[in-house]
Amino acid sequence: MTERYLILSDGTTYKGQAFGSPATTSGNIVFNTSVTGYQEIITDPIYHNQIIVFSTPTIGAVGVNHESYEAILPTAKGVVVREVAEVSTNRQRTLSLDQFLRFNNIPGISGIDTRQLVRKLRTHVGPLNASIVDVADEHAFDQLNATVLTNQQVAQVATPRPYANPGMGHNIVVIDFGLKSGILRELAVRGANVTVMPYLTSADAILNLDPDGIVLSSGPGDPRNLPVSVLTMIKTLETRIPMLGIGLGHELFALANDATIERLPVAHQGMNHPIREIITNRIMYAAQAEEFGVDRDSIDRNQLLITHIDLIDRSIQGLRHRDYPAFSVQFFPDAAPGPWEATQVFDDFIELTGTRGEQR
Amino acid sequence: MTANENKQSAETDSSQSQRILVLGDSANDFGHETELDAAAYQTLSVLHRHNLDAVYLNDNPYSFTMDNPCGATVVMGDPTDLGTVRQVIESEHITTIIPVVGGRDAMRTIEELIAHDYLDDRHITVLGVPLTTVRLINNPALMNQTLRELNEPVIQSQVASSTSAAFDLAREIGFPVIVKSVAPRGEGDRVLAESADQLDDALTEAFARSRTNQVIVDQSIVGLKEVSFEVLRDARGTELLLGALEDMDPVGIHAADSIEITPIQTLTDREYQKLRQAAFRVARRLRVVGLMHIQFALDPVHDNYFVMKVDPYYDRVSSLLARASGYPIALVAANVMLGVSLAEVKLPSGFAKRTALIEPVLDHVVVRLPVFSFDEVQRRGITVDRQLTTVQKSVGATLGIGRSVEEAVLKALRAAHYHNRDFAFNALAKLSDNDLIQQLIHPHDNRIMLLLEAIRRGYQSDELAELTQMDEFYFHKLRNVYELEVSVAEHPGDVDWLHRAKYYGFSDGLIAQLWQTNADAVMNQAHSAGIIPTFKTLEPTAGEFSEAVPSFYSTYELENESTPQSGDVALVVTTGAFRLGDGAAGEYVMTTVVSELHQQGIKTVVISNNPNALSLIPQLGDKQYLEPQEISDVLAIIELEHPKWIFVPGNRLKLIGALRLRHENVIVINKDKAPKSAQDGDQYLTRVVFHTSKIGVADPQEIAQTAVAHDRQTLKASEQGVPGIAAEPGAMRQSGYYQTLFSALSGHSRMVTTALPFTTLALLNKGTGINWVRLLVRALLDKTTTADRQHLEQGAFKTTTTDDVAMIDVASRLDLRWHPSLPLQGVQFKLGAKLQVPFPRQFVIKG
Amino acid sequence: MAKEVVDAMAMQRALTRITYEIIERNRGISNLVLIGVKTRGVFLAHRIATRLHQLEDTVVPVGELDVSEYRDDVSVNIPVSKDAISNLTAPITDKKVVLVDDVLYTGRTIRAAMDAIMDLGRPNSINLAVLVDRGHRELPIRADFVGKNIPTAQNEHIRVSVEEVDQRDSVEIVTADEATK
Repeated sequence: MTERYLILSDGTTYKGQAFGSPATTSGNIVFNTSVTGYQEIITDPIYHNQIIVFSTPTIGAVGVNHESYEAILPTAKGVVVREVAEVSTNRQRTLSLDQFLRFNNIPGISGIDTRQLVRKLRTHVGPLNASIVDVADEHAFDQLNATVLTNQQVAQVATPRPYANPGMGHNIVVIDFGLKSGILRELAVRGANVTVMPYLTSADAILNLDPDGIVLSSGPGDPRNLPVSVLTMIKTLETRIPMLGIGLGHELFALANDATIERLPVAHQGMNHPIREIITNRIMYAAQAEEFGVDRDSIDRNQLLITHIDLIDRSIQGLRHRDYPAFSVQFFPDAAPGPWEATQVFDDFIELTGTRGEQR
Repeated sequence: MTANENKQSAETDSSQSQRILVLGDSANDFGHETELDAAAYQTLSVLHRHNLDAVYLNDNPYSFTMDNPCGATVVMGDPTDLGTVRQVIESEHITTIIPVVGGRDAMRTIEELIAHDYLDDRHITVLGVPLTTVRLINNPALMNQTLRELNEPVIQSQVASSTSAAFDLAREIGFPVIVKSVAPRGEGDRVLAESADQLDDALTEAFARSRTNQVIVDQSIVGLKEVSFEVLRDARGTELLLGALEDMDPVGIHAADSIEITPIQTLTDREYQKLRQAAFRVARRLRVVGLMHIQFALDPVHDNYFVMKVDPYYDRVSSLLARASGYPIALVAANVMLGVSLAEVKLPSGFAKRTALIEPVLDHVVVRLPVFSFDEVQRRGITVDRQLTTVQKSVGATLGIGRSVEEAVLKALRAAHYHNRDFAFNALAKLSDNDLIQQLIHPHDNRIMLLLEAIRRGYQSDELAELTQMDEFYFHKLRNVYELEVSVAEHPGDVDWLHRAKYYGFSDGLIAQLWQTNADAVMNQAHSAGIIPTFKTLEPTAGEFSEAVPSFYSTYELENESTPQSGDVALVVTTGAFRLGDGAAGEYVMTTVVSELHQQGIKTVVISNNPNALSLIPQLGDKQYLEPQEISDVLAIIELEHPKWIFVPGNRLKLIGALRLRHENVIVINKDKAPKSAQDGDQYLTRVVFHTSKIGVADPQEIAQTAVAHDRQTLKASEQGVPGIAAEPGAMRQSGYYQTLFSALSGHSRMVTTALPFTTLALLNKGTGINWVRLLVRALLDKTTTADRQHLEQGAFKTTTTDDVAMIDVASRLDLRWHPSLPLQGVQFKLGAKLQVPFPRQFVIKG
Repeated sequence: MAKEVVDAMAMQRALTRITYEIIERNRGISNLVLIGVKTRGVFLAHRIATRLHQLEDTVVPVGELDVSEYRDDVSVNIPVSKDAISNLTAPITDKKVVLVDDVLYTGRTIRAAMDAIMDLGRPNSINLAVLVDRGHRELPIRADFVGKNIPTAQNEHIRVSVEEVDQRDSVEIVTADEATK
């Protein structure tokens, strides 16, 4: 059992035990309160450059399996937990969590008072950086404070070239801002013929593919750091083709329609907040991982309808264009991980493309 | 909201003529501790807040709710007796019935009322569960058909009306099969039959217990993973998941006898969400408005599951999850049942967001360990069948809460054993290898210790997983415990290992065993090394929000969240896990103590580890610790809370002794540790109960004068010139209630004086309509009222009504469950009792 | 055998989608009037109105229309009556009318409904929203908003159940002899 340290840019040091990779890494530290789904969370590209604190006391008991990858190569910077199960015993496992993290050069640290850490993070204003290190000396803190994290996360995780995920149904173009596999899985379940396009593709190039529908994928980071050309593309496409934005895609959809984005006082990552679908008053639960949100006051009600809100922090969870079949959700409807009731968003989307398709 | 559901939901604002009958829980029994009483109390408090007119019907002598009905009318009578229920409905002009705090018996009562068209004829509505669903719950065949319509996988299962038809089914399905009664009398049992002989026996029993003379023969799914989900659904159809738990033991051991753990550890997100979705679908189909517990058997290898059981009412799982998460399940469910939507329900002010819609998530591990009282019987030279099966054998349970599975398991184990000597790592060292294997395959009540012993003898995790069909994950956890044990033993006096041991839940006593020293020495060393417990809040958001829930557990980490209260504090150690006998009575008495202290403006701190404990109802006291009750646990809390008084039930001799050495104000709520009167059958006919407010030896004369009550026989005896009471002086050490027992055999000459059993104290309260427990607490605090003095001086026997209130013990079918070598008779083997009155009548308790 | 083709959840979603499409098509909901065709169309119209209210905080008037008197395939033709639209206080002249029905089949019911509406006033436009389009049109009528297209055989029937009167939401295909039962 090797001792390692988690150090925070506010000067705090935590002693714990190493697992996963022995690498030293730095990243932005966030906490997630989900009780299940650690593999999906760790492999989701939205955690690019981030150290994830799990509030659930034990992870690793079900190992790592084929069905739960959200990206082939995880790019999270670290995993912090109270207990890690040393051996995976789930029948679907291919690797233990420890092996998997080792393989992907991601360090983990266990034996941390994660409850205290979560309580600290929830009251800390603004992002906090952290490192997992061998020695928590002045040098380590200097290194941490000198670390400059990129604000071009999307560029680092999104696909540089198009690829197909063929199916026999509707022709769907997914624009990749850091796509997670859950979105492709849900489209595949519905038979869609998917083409994944890089986020810097022009609107014309996408229209040339004659899509029945367009998905703006989720992804990491601040949407305001993306080039304006992305917003122009969205603006052009939304008037022509049914559109669904998810996560970062939702934030970009809002920006393209003249709303503004703000950093949330405290990031929320978990799957236990009630989300109200306004039109039906229906309550549902979904996985959420949010550091940014749409500023409610900035929304032009003549352009956009607010369709969903989070009943805990009142954040905007869904928008819809008044004039075009285009809508977006802040939460993760692909349920990987997360409750399944939100997957209806994909049914809605496919039906939207379907009815349009017939009319054309 | 549907038209149908509209009808079920109470109109809270137009309640003028509405009168709600809440069916009580009646006698305690296997699988029925005080959780229903606790739910009833909270439900009545919600009805009261909605200004609804309620009637509570019960005959449980240990019912706290009967004494404290929150403004409802209490009727003393049998809620499981159809005649009584009808009588009460008519005399009290009932318009609405709430059955969900009366357990399965209440569901059966409703079904019988439906069968007689009684409810329709009188336009009586039932809250919580639609009538069609009540029928389903009581009829597994109908339930299976409904689930099949939903495309929910159910176990292959068919009804048989004769032994030969049942054998036909068994031949078709193939052994092993599970046999259950259709519409059983009492709790429905599932009996596993692996051979023709076993099937014969199972059928005889099942046919005899079926009210329709039918049985169900099920495909056996023994060995699959057993998990439970608890759903809350409102009348508008909003659903949320309150929590889920996993049984360490596979299907084949009754869930209440299984070691249960929450949050779920060994399911993937996909499996978890699939079952969550299924739970919602079933709740929707059954149109539940309130709680629903659904139990699944999961077959991870074939990515498949079966619905095993659906309980749309309060049970041990709702109680456990409320304790585990701090989410006020009973309060929210009661509101929902009345038609308030989940979006409208407001949580108590301590909750940061106050919305009932947040799904609880935990950042701690909770283990529920069943407690079997086999040893209590074996000590009398009676052997019992200790093998765990589909029939519940446990009589109680403890909770262990920690930040790791290891810590939670060890704390639950410690809570289950009052004495370290019962819980030593080498407890099973003498077991033969053959017995060990036999018990691995056919588990007994001691299986954590057995598994540790197996690991000690070199069994590998995969071998154990195959033998026991438990998830390998748990063997890795137990291996950690074993390895830690070895390392700690190798490093006596080493502070680092001491810290690590405490971090994973080892008690001072256990470490002392390993270091061959005494617990005090370990405690002192830990203390001086600054290894002290930190208390963390049991709240439902895993730290995301600042929740002021005054409920805590200990662990050894960085941050302590529990701060001392201002003002006078009383620490109350309540009953803990139930054993055979008067657990419910003890919990009733101790809860009354807590309630009275709270009402007297004293800050109360309760220590309990019983998931079903009445004393853990949040609004009754100020603060709760869900902890084991060993001396070190209690001392750690004393150190933080600085209580002025410590209240302890009288049977905790060792704890009382240890506490008295360290605290001047230890008050024993006295009870006889074994109720002798009944133990010796009819030998003692006469009983005089008396009270003394003096600590020390009471003068026999004074005792006679302060007698507060006695029963019919005493009355007769005193007419004949008895009693000439002379107590055994040493018996009365402090203020409390005592009894002198006279022998019936030798002309009332042989006497013995003991503390009063909790069971008798409970009867005394219910029989006289005076709350003697509250009176005692006030006396102890020097807050005796004029009324109290009058009650004492008059001697309540002059006005007592005990003549027409009798207490009858209820047979728990212990023989059928435990198969003892000799019949088990006597009150100490009884789990529950009923009050018997000639006719149902209103009950009000004074004080 | 009745076969469920749309369950409660799917029906809810279809109505939600239709509501959004009505907003989209009409560039907002001012000037809108919903008219439900009796019996089930009325409940569906009310559900759409509730959705519009939740979303836009605006009350859209809902009218009810009983067209059995207008049907040209019903042997006895009763003279046109202005009572046909009940429960509609708002005038329909110059309004955008959305006619709501449960099933679109031959088109004769809708034609009758349009006749009735035209008798009552001169709306700006009439759109048609149906939960199910089962095909077999006999008139040149097309729905603007369709919940679900369900191609059916002539001897099949579509049974729409709504919570308000049938205690459940569903769309089923039933065979002819079962439907007459």
